[in-house]
Amino acid sequence: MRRRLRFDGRTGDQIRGLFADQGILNRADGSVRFGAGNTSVLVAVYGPAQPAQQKKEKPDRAIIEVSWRADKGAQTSADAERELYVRRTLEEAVAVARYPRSVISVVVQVLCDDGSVLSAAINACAMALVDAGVEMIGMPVAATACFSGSGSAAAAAPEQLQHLGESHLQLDPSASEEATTRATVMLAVLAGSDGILTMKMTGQLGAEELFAASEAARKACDAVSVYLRRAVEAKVLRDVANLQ
Amino acid sequence: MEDDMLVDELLAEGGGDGADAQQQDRRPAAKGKGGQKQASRRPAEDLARGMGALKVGPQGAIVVLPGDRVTEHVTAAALKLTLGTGLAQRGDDVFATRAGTLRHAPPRTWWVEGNQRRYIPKCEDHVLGIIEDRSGDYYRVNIFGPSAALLPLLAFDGATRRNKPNLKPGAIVYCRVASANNASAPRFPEHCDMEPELSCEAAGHALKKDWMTRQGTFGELMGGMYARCSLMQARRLMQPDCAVLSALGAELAFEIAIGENGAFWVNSAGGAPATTVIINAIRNAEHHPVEQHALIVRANLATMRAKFGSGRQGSE
Repeated sequence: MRRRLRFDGRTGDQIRGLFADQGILNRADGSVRFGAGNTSVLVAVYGPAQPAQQKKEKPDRAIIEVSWRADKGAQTSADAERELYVRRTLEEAVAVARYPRSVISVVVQVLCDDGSVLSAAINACAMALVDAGVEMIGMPVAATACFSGSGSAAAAAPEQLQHLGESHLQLDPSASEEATTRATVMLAVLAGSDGILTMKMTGQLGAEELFAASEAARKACDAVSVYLRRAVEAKVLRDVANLQ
Repeated sequence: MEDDMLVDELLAEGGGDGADAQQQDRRPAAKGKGGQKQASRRPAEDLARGMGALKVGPQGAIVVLPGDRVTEHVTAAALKLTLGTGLAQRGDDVFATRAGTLRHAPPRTWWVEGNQRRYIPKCEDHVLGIIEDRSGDYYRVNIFGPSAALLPLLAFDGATRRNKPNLKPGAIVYCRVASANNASAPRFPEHCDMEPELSCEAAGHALKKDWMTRQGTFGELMGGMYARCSLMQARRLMQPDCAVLSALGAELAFEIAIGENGAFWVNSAGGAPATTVIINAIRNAEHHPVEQHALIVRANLATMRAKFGSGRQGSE
């Protein structure tokens, strides 16, 4: 079977290497610098804490505030939209009922945007919330898939889509691939569960393509969740070694 | 089929700590992992679901992540359980909601011990607070938790309206958490939607010393310096066999007040250099294994002595 390699040597179903530095900020309750390939984000979590204005607080649950800071320039409407996606995803994953009248503040600082930055941010938020000890229902993990090349969705035959390497489906696109893609699907799930937390689609794609992309993204989410698990386990065991 | 093997190989390798997925040699790995693939089609999924695949650290500590199902571990001995912090019941299963090690206090109490910095108030904890301001009958105190705490003006042993301490904003107090629950759920301290209340009165049957004598356990702390650390470090400092404090105590004379909210106060006879060394040694010890704590103390003391001379000044 012919493998179609991308510009950096990956096949369509490979994600970039991941790294995470946990607990790096002194003043934040939880923090992580997370990256996939050249994309890296720094997330800081403050909370649960008192809201700045009392009218903002909710009596039965915590409020999650997300602030997205781009690597260059002032905040744009695209950044405000990303804040919304991150906040909605985290609201499903964090046990907000445990912290009434509180606010959990999440600050996402993009250090380098080389594609798939929203899914990297959601993964980073998961690790930062775990570092802060905020109680969560599960770990949200996210991955992005895109379709390279031009051509209408109807022209893609179903049997082509069975073989990921053969089709133009690409997991974890970098910035140059995102710039030339015709459709992108970002999927966020709770690690280990079958449901979907968030799905963001842009561009034009057919129904089979959507299912293929979300299946591929779910596999990528599994891979990311394995990495998150190992990184968090290593940190927990390090704390046990230092403080027991 | 080949795609599945490649994706499963990525899952099986786990990505490593920053290892680049595409640089791994594919062919031998694909052969070796073929059998594993048949056994379980989605190994990561099973890992994430915690079906018997939780990592066991040294001394049998079970490491859990939020969302892990721990029902089998927890119900092994008894079915009627007390679930502490970090565990929640959903339906018939018990799930972890925090990352940490699964702990057990026989016969039936389980919780998850993680390391974090933000303190969640619990009754009868001894905490260190900073006075923020004074309103009505209370001081508002910052105990580094989700909300400020309230310390009544008269909550000091022997205090009356005419004879009570006058604490300024910025003063450091050592006190205990008198109430941290809302009135309707006294057995669920995590549902604290009311501000916690503090008290500097001696608890229960303990000997009561007037606040003016400054001989009680609780009250204002004068002089010295305070610093913050993680909650697990604070609990470690309170243990009688703490390596860092033993090593420091062998060389320096100091008094220390440790709050369970991750804050501690140090005052040393050797003045500011000695106090700084103590605080730095405690902060450094948080990031190094226990075996190196004595070395850390020795290194910090050597630096201080090179600059300031011995730390034993004045009477002990």
